[in-house]
Amino acid sequence: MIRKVILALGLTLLGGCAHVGVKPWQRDILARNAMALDSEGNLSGYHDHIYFSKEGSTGGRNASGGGCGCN
Amino acid sequence: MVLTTRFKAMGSPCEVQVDCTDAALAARIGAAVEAEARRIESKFSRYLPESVVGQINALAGMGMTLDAETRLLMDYAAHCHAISDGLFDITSGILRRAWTFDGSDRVPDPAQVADILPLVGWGKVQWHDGVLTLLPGMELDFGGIAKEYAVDMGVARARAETDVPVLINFGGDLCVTGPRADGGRWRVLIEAVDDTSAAAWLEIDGGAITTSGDARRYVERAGRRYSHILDPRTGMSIADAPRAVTVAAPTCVEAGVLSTLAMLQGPGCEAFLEQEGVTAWVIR
Amino acid sequence: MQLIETGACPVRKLGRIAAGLSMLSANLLGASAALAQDSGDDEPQVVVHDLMKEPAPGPNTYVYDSSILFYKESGSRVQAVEPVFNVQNYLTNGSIISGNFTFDTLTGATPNGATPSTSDQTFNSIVREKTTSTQVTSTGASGGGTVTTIPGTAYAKSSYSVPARTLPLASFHDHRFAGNGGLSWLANPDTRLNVGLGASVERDYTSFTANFGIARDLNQKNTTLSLSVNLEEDISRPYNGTPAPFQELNSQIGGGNDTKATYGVLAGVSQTLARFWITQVNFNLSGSKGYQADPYRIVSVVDPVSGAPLDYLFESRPRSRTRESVYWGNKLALGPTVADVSVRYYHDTWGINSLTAEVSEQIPLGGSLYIKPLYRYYHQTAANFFTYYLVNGNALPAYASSDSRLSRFNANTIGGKIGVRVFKTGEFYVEGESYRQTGAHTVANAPGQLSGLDLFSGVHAISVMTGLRLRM
Repeated sequence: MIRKVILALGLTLLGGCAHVGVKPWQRDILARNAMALDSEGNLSGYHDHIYFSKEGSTGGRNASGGGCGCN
Repeated sequence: MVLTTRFKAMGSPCEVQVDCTDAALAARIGAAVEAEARRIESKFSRYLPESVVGQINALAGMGMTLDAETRLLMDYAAHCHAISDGLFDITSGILRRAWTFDGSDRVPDPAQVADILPLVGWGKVQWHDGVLTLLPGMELDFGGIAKEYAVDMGVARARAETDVPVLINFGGDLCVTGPRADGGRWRVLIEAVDDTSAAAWLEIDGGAITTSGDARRYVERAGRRYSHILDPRTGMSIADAPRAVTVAAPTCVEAGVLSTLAMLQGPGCEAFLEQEGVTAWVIR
Repeated sequence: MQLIETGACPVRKLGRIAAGLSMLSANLLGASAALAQDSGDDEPQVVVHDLMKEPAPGPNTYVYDSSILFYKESGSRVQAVEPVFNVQNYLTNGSIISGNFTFDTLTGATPNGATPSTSDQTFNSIVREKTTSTQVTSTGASGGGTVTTIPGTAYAKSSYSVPARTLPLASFHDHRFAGNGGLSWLANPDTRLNVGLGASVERDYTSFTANFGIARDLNQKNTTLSLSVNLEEDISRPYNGTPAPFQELNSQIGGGNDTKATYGVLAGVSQTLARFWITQVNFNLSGSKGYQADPYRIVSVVDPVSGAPLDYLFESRPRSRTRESVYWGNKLALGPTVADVSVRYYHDTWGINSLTAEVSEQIPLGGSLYIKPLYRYYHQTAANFFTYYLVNGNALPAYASSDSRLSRFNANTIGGKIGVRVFKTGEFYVEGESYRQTGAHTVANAPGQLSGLDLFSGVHAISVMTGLRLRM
């Protein structure tokens, strides 16, 4: 089930990729720090740590997980 | 009779000559022009971290809004860049790090210049709606027009105060408000470009004069002379540039930009000046 | 001596550049002179632009981020203080060197895995004498506990009690220090590589990680494909040794340290969909082999009729776990605000499936301040070997754990962040959030007393994080 979801999402994105997007001079908003996919700095590390030690799931934005003996 | 106020500013000997007999008026004009010169120097000097330019350079990478006067100068610099096809560029100052102009023969390694070049180029600057964003590491340098601007603003200050003829000369960049009181011309000594050439008398009864030259700032190597005027597009000194170019124009800023652009033409300097219909003297 | 004569604006036919400059210069000076007349009010000369419009760090920049987390669970459970220092150096050639240092101190108490009872419970265990001071399982949550040396051995008896009708907690105290370093560079303008190494050490656990990744830009940088691999080796060094699965609490532990090896692969694609919208899908696959149980956690064995606790056994978990997840994240600039919306679906071979949805909105208030409310919803199913208790007389299952982290629950996080511009290029931030897990408090057909007791051991925690990010 999960593999089908991934495949569908992935193909949709890759298939539409070549024609979707912005010209280089239209990147003004995207260039802002607030629009970066990982703009939260130390806070995202805290969230990862808290959720890793209190929940059963890992992964998502990045591949990290673990490092402490709390799961 | 000419009453003169002298002071030092912007690294140059400055003088304000007032053609009148009223000593108090002459002193007032002199003080006003000096105050304006100091104001502009403290605002636009890149050597002062608290100046507008100092702050802009320290904050490179962040977007900044600027005050009205700085916006005007920024627009002017942007237009000069466009109209000169990139030869006039206030972001080119950092190229000085590769060149040491002290009469020695140290020419920079092209790799050194190549390292700095990514941080040079007005095209890399975002300037719109009063907001300026430089790339981190870029620097602005108003050295090419600050002195000329100060001369012109000094002239405006003088004209606002009086109709009496005034000549303002900041280290060879000069402008007069009009002919002398008796209708004749002002006489100014233009210093020699170097030991081998002679000084010249300049007689002027209107407009401004600036001189771009490499009298003290050049590198001489293998018989070739590399002037301190660098092509912002390549980072390299202009080959076969004239030793000096003196330009006459209605305002000092205009003359300043023209003399800089003329030097940057290298061997084509005379042709450029002829084509543009500019009154100028070239010394090779 | 040469005589140069020049007059007032001789009639001249100007070329394109000279004519243009003439007009530009006249305009400049006219406008500047006019300004000089109005001046009197002190307009600020250089004002760094809106905090939320700040561009992402570019070359020749250092970014320092120092922060601290204060974490507290309600019910006298875990409390933590965690300072973190992060530095990133962006070089002119596009490389980025980064370092991160974390120190955390945990105190408080955590459920020991046993169910509550209608009478007081006493937990007796045999501990190694060298570990007698403030180690896990030697004291109850109230701090009371006794340790009695067994003469002629290197062991001692440890005992602590928990009052009736309370969730049994064991107190602990730990420090952890972790550091990691990373290097990222451009192999060519469209391809970025990165490597990283990390280590984390606490009193009873050590972990080493290494990661490698590659990201490739396509379609004028509108699309980025990324692939990264991370490897982790963990060494569990419990104070009293590693118990055997289902070993009785009150017995000597013969095991020493144990290890676990983990690999992870992340494949992702990010795509700009519009000037104001960027989206990202990540697929994550990871597997662990080795010791994955909690060496201090027990499961109660209860009487099938009365529900009273008869014995306590150390838990048992499989030695292998494979996890898969799909994550979809978005950043949208909606007017002056920026919205962050993401969803993650997760599944693993222990039977845990989870769904996570997060949304936050960063809202500017003037140019130097923003607020960012956030909400997170989380739901997970229980691991297939999760159980609140074991029933005496039934056959022992292959694996069993009563750890709430493996149970079925929902969790809601609600919070907000405030960011304010400081020192011209820095940002001071504070974020507070409330995290609450909700799950079953009773079990259908629980024997005897257990049907009237609250078996829930999930957490409710408040976190406050504050820090300073400087850019220079």
